[in-house]
Amino acid sequence: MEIQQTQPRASEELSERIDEASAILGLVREQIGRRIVGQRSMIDGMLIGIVAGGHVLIEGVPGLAKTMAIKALSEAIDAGFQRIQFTPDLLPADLIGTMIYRQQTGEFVARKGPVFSNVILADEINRAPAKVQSALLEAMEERQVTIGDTTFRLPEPFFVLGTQNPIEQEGTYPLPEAQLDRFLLKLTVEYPSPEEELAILRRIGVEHSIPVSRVLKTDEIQRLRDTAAAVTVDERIEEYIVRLVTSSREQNKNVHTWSRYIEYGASPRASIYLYRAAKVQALFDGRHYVVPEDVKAVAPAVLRHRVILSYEAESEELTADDVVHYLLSAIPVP
Amino acid sequence: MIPRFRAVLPVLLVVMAAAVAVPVRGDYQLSSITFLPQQFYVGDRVEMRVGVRSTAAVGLSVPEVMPQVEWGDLHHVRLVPRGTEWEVRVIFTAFRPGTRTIPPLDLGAFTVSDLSVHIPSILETQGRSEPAPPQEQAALPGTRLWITLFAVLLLLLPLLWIFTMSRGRRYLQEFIRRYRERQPYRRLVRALKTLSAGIEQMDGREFYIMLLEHIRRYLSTRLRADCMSATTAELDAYLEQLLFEAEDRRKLLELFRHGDLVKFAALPAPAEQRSEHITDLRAVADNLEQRRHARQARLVRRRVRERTARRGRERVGV
Repeated sequence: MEIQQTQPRASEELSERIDEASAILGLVREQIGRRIVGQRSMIDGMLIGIVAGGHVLIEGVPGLAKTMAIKALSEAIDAGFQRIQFTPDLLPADLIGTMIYRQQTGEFVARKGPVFSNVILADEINRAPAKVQSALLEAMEERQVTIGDTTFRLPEPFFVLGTQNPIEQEGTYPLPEAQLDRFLLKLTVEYPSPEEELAILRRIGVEHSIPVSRVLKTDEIQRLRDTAAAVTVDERIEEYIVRLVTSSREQNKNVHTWSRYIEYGASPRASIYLYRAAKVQALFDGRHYVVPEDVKAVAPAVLRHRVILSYEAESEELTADDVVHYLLSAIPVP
Repeated sequence: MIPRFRAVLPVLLVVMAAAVAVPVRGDYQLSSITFLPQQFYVGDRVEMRVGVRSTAAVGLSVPEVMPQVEWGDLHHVRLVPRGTEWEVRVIFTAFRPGTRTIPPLDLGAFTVSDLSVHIPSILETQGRSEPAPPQEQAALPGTRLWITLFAVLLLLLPLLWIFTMSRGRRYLQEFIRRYRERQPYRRLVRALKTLSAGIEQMDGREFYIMLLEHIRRYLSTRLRADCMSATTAELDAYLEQLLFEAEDRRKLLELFRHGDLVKFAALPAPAEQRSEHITDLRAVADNLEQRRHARQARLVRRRVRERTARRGRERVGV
């Protein structure tokens, strides 16, 4: 079968932008990859978050280079970076800032907190009390912070990367579902393969610093976002996205047998984020159109923290990923 | 004496002359009486056939005016020569039951009289005054025989089944299994024919949406994997895992990728290319079916060999 591969219709300008975006993203990957071995899905997930304009929650056991990957990313981006270690005694003011009295002028002035930066690493976000989490998550959503009587816009791009540990739940404050919903993606970091671990050993067995070049500028992030927005999504793909999300809310157990494992399904915000993330995924592959693979590739990260499991799922020791897998296996691709 | 004779003679001559001038009215004899239909009732139109043998020298003729009867209608009379005799056919309809007399019929040479007919009423049958219940449908000749044969066959069928259970059931199961197994292929071929017929009228995008859906459905049955929810990359993984023939796999994947481009990236799809895809897909499906068939035949042969060997061992008591 000799298929004459005619090029799909796309304007030359868009094609150029896509190629450029794909190249930039490849460059960022490459720079992070200098320091991090493997963990491709985590690195891609973080980049998807930046380009799609959403925040990312990373979950993994200690020692899987979560923090290192985020720091490497922040170094690859020519933007401000702040790391906030969440602890039980942290206060909202430590995060967003506070009013301080200036003796010289005799007035209160706002002192901005570490949240006023482009890339924020909220390390072990579940270790801070609810009021601190709430303050950060409000800033994430509104992209503005009010200190005293004054409201300050957060800088653009504003990107929060939260990390949390699935073990050591003692003394933690699990994020409520409503707040989890504000994260575009929840990435789970797995242990590296033996080959990868060997490569890690050889690369950083002896402590030394691996330099990461700044390859992504702030204005380029906006260009990447514009290019991602220009990626076309066929109406059948849109319907597929909506069907995936609404199926998670299906209450009738006769329609999908796995419905019994879901207490609450994903919100419409999931549809929006799935749509945006799929576009960026297409951009990674240098395409100007989204295919079902793109949706399926990002669906677990978009849906896993939005699907609330039922008691039945817990009793059968099923994880959200298992249920999302059932969901993806049940809905026909367009 | 002679004078008396002379007085009588003219009278005799007149009588003799009259006898010569007037046709001779002969005697007759009834040979048979039959009715058509044989069984009739009040209100039926009946033909009474009366066989008449006569010595009359002249021909017969039907009555010019039909006599009237109070018990029914005499429609007409016909005469049919039957060799040496005549058959008189009287057609009538009786409206009253009982024994009725046909009025004398003047047939020219003689008058047939004393013909009577018994007209039964359906109400009088079996001594009932009420109408008889509805009768069974009249059966065609031989019906009972067929029914009997069928009943015997029905009775024998379970016996035949029992006798041939081990072999017959196996064959039947095999037949059904083969029929069912070929069903997805037949469905695909039908769908390809339909698509092929409408290739010129159909929009390219619509065409590939339908084509890929049919292939996915077909592959789902053949690969025993859910291809409906599988993306092109996932299908590639399935095909690789199942050691799908490399050339067929390449063709299928190219087709899927091309279909994705047409569906999601508005790639133009000329009719010739679509037609080519249908032909190639048909070839891939044919190959797949042939390989399946060969594999199953091998499996059956192996089973037979194993069974034969087992029986052999049982026979020698191993």
